[in-house]
Amino acid sequence: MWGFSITKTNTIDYDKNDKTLMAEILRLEPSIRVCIACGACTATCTAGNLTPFNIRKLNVFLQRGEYNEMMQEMGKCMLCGKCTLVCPRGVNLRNLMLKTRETLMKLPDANGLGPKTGYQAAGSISQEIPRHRSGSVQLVNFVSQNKSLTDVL
Amino acid sequence: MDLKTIAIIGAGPAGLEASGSLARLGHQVVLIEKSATVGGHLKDWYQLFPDRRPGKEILTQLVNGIKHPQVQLKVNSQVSEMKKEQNDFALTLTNQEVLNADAVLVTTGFDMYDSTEKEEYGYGIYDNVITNADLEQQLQKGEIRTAIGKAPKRVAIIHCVGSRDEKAGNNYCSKVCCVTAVKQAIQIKERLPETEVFCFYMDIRMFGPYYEELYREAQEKWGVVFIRGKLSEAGQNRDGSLSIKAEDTLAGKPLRMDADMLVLMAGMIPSEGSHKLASVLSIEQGQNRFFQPKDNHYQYNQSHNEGVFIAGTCVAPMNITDTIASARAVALKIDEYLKN
Amino acid sequence: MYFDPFVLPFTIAMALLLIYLLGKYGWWIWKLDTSDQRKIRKNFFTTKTLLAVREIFGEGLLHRKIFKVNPRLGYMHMSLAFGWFLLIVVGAIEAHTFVKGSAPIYFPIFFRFFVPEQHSFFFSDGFTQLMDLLLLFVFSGLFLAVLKRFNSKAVGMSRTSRKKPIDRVVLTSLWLIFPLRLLAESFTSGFYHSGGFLTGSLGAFLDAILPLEHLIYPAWWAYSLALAGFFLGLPFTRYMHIPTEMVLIFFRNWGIKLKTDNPVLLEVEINSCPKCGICIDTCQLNSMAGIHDTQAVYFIQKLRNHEQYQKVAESCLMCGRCENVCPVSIDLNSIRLMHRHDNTPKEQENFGFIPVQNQTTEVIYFAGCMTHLTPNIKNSMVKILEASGDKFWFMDEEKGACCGRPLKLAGQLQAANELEERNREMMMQSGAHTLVTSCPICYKTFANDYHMNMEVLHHSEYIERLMQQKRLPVEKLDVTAVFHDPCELGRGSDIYEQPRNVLKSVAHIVESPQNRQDGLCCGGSLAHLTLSLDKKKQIAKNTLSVLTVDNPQVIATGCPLCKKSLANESTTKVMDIAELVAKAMVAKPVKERVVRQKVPVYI
Repeated sequence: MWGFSITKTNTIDYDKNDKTLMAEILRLEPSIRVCIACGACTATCTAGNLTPFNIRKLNVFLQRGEYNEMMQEMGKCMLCGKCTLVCPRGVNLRNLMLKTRETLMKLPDANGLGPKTGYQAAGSISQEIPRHRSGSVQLVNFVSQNKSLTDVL
Repeated sequence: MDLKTIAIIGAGPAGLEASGSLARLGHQVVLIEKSATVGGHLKDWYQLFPDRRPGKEILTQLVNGIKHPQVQLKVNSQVSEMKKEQNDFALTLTNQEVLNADAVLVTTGFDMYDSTEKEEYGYGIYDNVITNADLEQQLQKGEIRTAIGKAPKRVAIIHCVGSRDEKAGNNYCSKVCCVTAVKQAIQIKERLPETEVFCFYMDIRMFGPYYEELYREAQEKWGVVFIRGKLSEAGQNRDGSLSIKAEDTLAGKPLRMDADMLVLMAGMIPSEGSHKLASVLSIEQGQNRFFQPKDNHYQYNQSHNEGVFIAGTCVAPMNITDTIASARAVALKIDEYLKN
Repeated sequence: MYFDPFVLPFTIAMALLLIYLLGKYGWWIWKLDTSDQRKIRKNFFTTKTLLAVREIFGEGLLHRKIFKVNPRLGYMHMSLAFGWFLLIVVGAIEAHTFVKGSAPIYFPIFFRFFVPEQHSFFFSDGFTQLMDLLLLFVFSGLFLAVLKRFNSKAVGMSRTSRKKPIDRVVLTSLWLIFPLRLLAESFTSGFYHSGGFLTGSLGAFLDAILPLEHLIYPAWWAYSLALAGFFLGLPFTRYMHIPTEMVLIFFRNWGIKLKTDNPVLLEVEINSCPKCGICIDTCQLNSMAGIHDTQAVYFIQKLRNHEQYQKVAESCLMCGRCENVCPVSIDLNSIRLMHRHDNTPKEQENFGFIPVQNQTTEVIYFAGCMTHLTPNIKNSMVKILEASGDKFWFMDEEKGACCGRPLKLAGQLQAANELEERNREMMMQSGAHTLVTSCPICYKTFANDYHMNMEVLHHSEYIERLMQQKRLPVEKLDVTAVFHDPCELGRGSDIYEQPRNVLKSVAHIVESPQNRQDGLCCGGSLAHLTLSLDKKKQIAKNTLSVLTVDNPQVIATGCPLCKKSLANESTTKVMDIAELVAKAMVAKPVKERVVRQKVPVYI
């Protein structure tokens, strides 16, 4: 049952919410369990400084099975890592954000079909990786879509 | 120098420890207890926080402490009157016996808040709403079961029942319920690993050594979920489960869920005995209705009536560790007082 | 006619292997995109090819890079590789000198069988002794190799890579080649009273106790089969690295680079991994955090075997230490990064909320996200900039966004591109000619990815320049400082001397026993996505114990993340070089100081 496909009340209907995604995210990053929602993360957040992006709140929602808000907002995170540095409980928020994005991509769209098209992995980009200075290679990334490059050959 | 006598009213942990300490300091002690047994509420606690040691262990040590020739125990006795003349106290007990003492120590402890007063929580109305004391009994007996004998799949623990609550008439914080809630949450999880446990709290007050670590353990190891929000009401569904309404303040939205069992963290209120004795012994009660010490720092064990001392939870909510410390402190103070 | 059926296993296997290799490499070259193929054509007949040959000799045979890291291991690899190479080459010269004409391809390999008696031809005796010496040389390496299998510490390696069954089979085949050769040659020499100091003496000894006449033929068969076993198994094991390494060296020298949409060079690189295991020992996750399964060799193995690699791809500090010691110079960091999954929300503007700041200036100072958590650094930088007299704009003082590299390190390329575009536009519009940043992570992306028309400097470079231009008078502080090389600054950007030059002017510098390219990581890495706080602390503690071995008063560094990670675990004070410089600054007369401009922000 996807709680967001029909008119939703303002209440968090804990029992109606689908918790499988939450359980998956918790499995991928278990340190979120020790969050005490103190708000230090939101306070230091680079994006939160510029726009109403409240990572504490979004994580609370996540743990109640409410994914809508997180899905709308998660693109704003710049993964800078300040939240992880200030967390008094040692929650690995950066990885949590990354795994949340990965997991929520599996949500179907409003008609219950397929992965939501707005959240697919971006396609590969042709980019050469130049060498920097005296031989050490700079780091540029690549989109692999879960396939090994060797599959291409 | 003739032997001095101290009358100690209330044979809970504070009274027991003070008796033992004073006897070992060389005084005569008369320990008066209104019920048939000693130990107070400690008898009801299965395991103590933070390390989960059995309450019985401490009780045994305290009881052994009064096995002293200079301690006289009087159970099933209450003090109905007191006359003070100079430095002598004459206490009349309910059996008309008159006791003479050179100092009086009041350790009448606390009562649990009566949760039936909080009608909207359903205690006494719905079968599966129990208190922390009830749960401790269940733990003592071994199994946690709902009213129809099933293991609950989801337990919600409600903090601050009867404390920090104008409507209940108690503004103060009962201090120990938060850590009790965390301890009991872990105990539930230990016995029923598949059961979901939720703690609905206003604040998490982990004031003592290793309490914060216990809180973290509950989250990390046992998966207890903490939701910040005061329960507004509980209702009952047709199948006997309870429906809960609270605001998830950190999410900023109201939340509802069903649970098989509700555990109310009932707070501490001054005991009935304390109320009665306040007038009998001419000692003051503070605004929170606990006994008012002479001052809050340096004369914390003395009442306004010279020669009448106070210790333990009749002064303020505290845990066993602090109760025992309070008892030892007052014993020293009484000893000093008696030596003038 | 020099032929015997026993040569067939070897010859057929070698032919098959050569066909396979030519096919595979031909396929790779064909699969290269046109620009790379053009590069090959262009560079084939140039000195670059000769340089490649020299590198093959120096690294593929002599293993110079391994010698630098671990001499015993270097000797082991060299004796096997170079020794075998010389055996083949000298053997071929010997055989062709004898035959004075053409001979079948297998002739030099089995020379002793076909020419068992002592012959006299040019330098024949010399050849025989030389071949024996080379065989002994190979044996010394073989001894070390076998020893390493049972006790890796004996060759100075605390750990060595795990082997699969096929690896073990082919390894056994390889190891049997030389003992079997020795036996075959000795049996022959013993029976025919020929041979050198090794094969001859061994042969003579065996002649006395064994019926050699009957053992010679089986021995040569066994030798041929062992060779065949090795050649046939080679493509399925790590020994593929032997030929592929050469292809890699050629490709690299011809200028072919890793691409994200053409996987040929990636294939070549991952097949060049010899699984030597040197990357394991040097990895701090292994030596300091008890993590033994994510090192580069295992990652590459996963890629080759088409196994699930996602988790291992994410579990790397990307400190560059393994890349630094890899004998084949595989681009380990880039390959790791290439395999991180991008799940940027697609087709939407993610960073539209970043306010546009309009400001004209000459120098932009970008502190970086982490620097805001170490305010001493940014305050010191402001002080230095004010003293410099440059007109500067503290771009991310209040309304700054992230530089974009953390997104890249997490694999989110799309998001990084969008973010960088916004930053780039603002920076270009400011008309600045120089961008100074106090964070090496930001520095790397500004310098390599932003492609702006301005100079990008790490603050150590900027301060060094100011000092050289005498625009920043300082008085040396009476304090000893050790410099900790941040991974992104040192191995990542080749900036080792500039911060030291700055440090020398303001403090008494001491060096850590592991520094520069060999420097240790602080553990704070943004590239390791899943490392727990406990493990990070372990790494920091260990790095600190090395840094403080000479009891410096201060640990100086050039990265706010290093500072934070080390300071949390350190009893010695950790300071950024900017802080030390600010402390050492001599106050200029008031009228010379430039008052910093207030930044108007237009949203």
